[in-house]
Amino acid sequence: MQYLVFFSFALLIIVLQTTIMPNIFGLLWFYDLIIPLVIYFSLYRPFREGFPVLFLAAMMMDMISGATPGIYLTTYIWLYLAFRQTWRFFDVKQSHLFPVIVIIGVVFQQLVFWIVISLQAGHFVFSASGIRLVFFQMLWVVISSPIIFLLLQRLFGVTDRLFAGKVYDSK
Amino acid sequence: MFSRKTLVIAGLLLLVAVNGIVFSYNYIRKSSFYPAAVETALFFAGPLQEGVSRTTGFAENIWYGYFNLVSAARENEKLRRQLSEAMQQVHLCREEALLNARIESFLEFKEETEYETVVADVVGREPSAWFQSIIINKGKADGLRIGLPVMIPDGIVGQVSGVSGHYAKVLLIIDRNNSVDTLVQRTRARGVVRGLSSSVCNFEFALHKADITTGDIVITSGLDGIFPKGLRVGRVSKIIRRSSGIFQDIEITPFVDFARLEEVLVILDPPEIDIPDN
Repeated sequence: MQYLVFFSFALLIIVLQTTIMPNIFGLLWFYDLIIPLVIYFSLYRPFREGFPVLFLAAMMMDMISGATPGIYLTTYIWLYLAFRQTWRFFDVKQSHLFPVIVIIGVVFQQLVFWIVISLQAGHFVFSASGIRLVFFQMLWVVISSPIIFLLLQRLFGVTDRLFAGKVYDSK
Repeated sequence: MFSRKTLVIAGLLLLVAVNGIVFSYNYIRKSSFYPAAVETALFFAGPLQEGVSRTTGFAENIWYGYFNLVSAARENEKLRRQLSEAMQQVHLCREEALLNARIESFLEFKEETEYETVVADVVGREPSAWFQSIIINKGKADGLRIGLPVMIPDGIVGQVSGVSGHYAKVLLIIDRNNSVDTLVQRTRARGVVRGLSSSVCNFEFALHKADITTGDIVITSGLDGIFPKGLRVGRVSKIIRRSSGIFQDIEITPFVDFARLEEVLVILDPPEIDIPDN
């Protein structure tokens, strides 16, 4: 049941960012909202809980997107595993670091996209709009990620109380 | 208190006095005393009168203004509500008119074209700016399959790249992974249109000697086995002829405004090309 709730939440984000957000002027360059979820799962939730949900969300993104199949799966899984290993060595679980980590995630995703597109084109694709895109996405992260962090904290707090009575460390 | 006689005498005296004043009025007005007296009286009374008049006028204005204001506020609120409703109606009518115009152009196109088509609504868009695709609300149940061409009366949109029971994914022609075999309408010079950015495509493999100028219209050649021949693609917007190389660098601007795509037409029976086995 808990998995169903988490996946429904991920699905809601996917639907939101493929329907409403592209139509709102100014949000055209919004970042992938699954990334904060990936990072939250990676840093604050157990592997058995986060990985299956992210795997399904990544598959869903790959299926509905016109991008090269597997690109979202690759990005999410790499990000998930990378940050999961990182917090063993660095204290990145502090909430005020969340926006910085999301920025790293967003830049990483754009880098993967850029590499894949360049490989397909057979040469390095360089465009000013690509750099502008990353810049705007970073700005959006700074503005929105603290709110998203609080929302995720609240959501997972509620689900923990509802399903198992357990609360994981998210400070 | 007074006798009847005394009252009669007093009344007669008062009558005489009043008559005297009335009869002497013209005389007084013409005398020099009168203007001076008026001036003095006005000097003192005028400001006082003005002050009192202004004050009472002000109070009167406030009093009536308050009531007017209250009723005006109520009326304003009512009118605002009516205006809001009217604006909503106008907005709905405008939307209906736009939808009707689009449907009309779609129907005209359906009547003109020899192909069987189905109209679909755009229900989703690509979240990443690097890739260009849309989701439409028609699928296998409506006869859609992978590879079918998608267009609007303005020009071609893309091709179906994935399909489920009631939905399909369409890869737009502005995506870098999409390419369409095309030719320049005026000179019949051939080339391949490939996506470049969200509003521009490349016209590749156009030979250096090919006669192509800015503004030329590019149409589908029908040789890619996906799009029927003669559909509008875009207009040549930029040409760079390098001294080396055998091809020209050409950019075309598609006729379709992909940011405003709301409905599309899927061609269900595009012409098939016989490709020899060997």
